[in-house]
Amino acid sequence: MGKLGIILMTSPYEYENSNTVLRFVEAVLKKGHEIAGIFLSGDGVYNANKQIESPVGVNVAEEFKKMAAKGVRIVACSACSTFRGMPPSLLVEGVSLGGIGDLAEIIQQSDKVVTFSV
Amino acid sequence: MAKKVLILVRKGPYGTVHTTDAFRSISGLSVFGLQVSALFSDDGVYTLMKNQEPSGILMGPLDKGLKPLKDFGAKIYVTRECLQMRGISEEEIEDVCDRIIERSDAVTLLRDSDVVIPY
Repeated sequence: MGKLGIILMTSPYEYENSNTVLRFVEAVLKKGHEIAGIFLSGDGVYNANKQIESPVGVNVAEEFKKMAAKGVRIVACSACSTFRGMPPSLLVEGVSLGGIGDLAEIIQQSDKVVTFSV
Repeated sequence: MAKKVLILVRKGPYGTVHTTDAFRSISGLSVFGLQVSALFSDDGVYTLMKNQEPSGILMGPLDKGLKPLKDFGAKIYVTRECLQMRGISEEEIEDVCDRIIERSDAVTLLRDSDVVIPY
């Protein structure tokens, strides 16, 4: 079984990446693989905004919260969050703020890293 | 053993935050002990041009950040074809590239990297 790292660089509700990551991680875990971590970078930090409300479709932030509750490590880039006015209090439960050192750690621990960007 | 990370810079230096973010990743991941290379291709080659003056758009000149990336230990590559397609000569880019590479070399670089992060 392998260990995967994921980098998500895009915001939700603009690109399909967020939904793809959610389904991808679910499939990875179902197959018995592990997730070393998900790193939310750039606009990707918006995926963890607890103020997201989705009148239709999936509430992405809630889904990431559920994923974190299952033990998946999810880190939002601290600098990216600061630039975008996303204080720690806006993050959904289970998602932590971290730096490039966390990304380096996820990369080092992963057999493969999959990046979802523009 | 440290993983080999390739940062792929494909967008122009300004207009988006992607190239700035790429610089942060190059320096940061190098600091944390990964073997980092950067490949400038497509419009990303404009990032290497000398004498950038983006103060009019309230940005700092990214070309001044190239040499510090080398100081962090990162290797820098640029694809010759992408320079040529944009009419950029070797004399017009900063002297920071470890090598100007052909497209086939770029494929090898991508294949030999453990992780590719595209910007």
